[in-house]
Amino acid sequence: MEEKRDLLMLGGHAFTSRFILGSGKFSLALVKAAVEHAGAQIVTLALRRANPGGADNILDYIPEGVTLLPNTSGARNATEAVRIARFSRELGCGDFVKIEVIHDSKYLLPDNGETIKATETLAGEGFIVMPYMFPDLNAARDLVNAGAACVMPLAAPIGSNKGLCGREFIQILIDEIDVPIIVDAGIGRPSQACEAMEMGADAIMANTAIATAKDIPAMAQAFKKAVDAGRTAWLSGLGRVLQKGADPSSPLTGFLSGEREAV
Amino acid sequence: MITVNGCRIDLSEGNRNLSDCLDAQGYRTDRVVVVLNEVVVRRNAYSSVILKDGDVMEVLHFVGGG
Repeated sequence: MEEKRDLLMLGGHAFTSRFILGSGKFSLALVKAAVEHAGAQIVTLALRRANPGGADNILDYIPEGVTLLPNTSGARNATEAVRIARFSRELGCGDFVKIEVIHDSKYLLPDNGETIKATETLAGEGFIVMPYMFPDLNAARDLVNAGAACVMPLAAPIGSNKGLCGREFIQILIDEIDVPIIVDAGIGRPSQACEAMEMGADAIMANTAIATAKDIPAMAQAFKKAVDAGRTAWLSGLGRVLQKGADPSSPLTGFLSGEREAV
Repeated sequence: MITVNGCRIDLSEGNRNLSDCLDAQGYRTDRVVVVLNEVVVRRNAYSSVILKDGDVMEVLHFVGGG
């Protein structure tokens, strides 16, 4: 009998990997190894001014077949995000876009309202919109209604490696929102990625946790294993938690000590 | 004079054509998107675009990002 495949569906595209890798802060020489060790099928990129002189380009280092997910970093409002997304699509990378609208330079928190506006516009233009957001149920519902292919709530401030600070609010999104929930930003350790997957998140995105590790490919692989483990655990149905007391794992009969009746 | 990625550049016979201008500065045309006065120029149109004084051009490409 054919085994049923566990696929992550985004805008009609199927992925077997549930780990999205951000490519920022890496030396180009390590990008390929990081992508391969992560088993990533989606990699994010940013659009910036090009340097004259034909320098190396990150696209030269991303393995063939990987889906490119341009972000709209640098956008401070919906209009700028839409502009960046349109320009990115002209590079022939497909229709995926990760919307990122930030005008708070201290905490780098996303502006959900502007993100909703950009989502509506870009979804209407045929983009597969993956919005990065502050985990808020009402905003997530608005994003879905605006045409988002998923929602990407932050776990903690970008680049902080602080882990699942927004755990309770992400759980609400997991429980209530019907599009994939991809936990993005702030995940600092594989165990935190695993925990988010055990909670029922559909995928994890990470960048800084890997880019700031001592051994980047090894950490990418550790994240892959953690995401896979968390997914398998969630699909398996986690065991129950006792409110108090204990429940022995071994039988309470047939102990070796004490008197027994002859057989 | 035109502005490319925020830098002023003098126009001459050698770079008045967009394709020549990009080549002269060493841009990898297979890896960039060109936005001229806020309008995207498709790659197959580079050789037919003549730059004029006051044009504002952005030459963009992908970099690592999260």
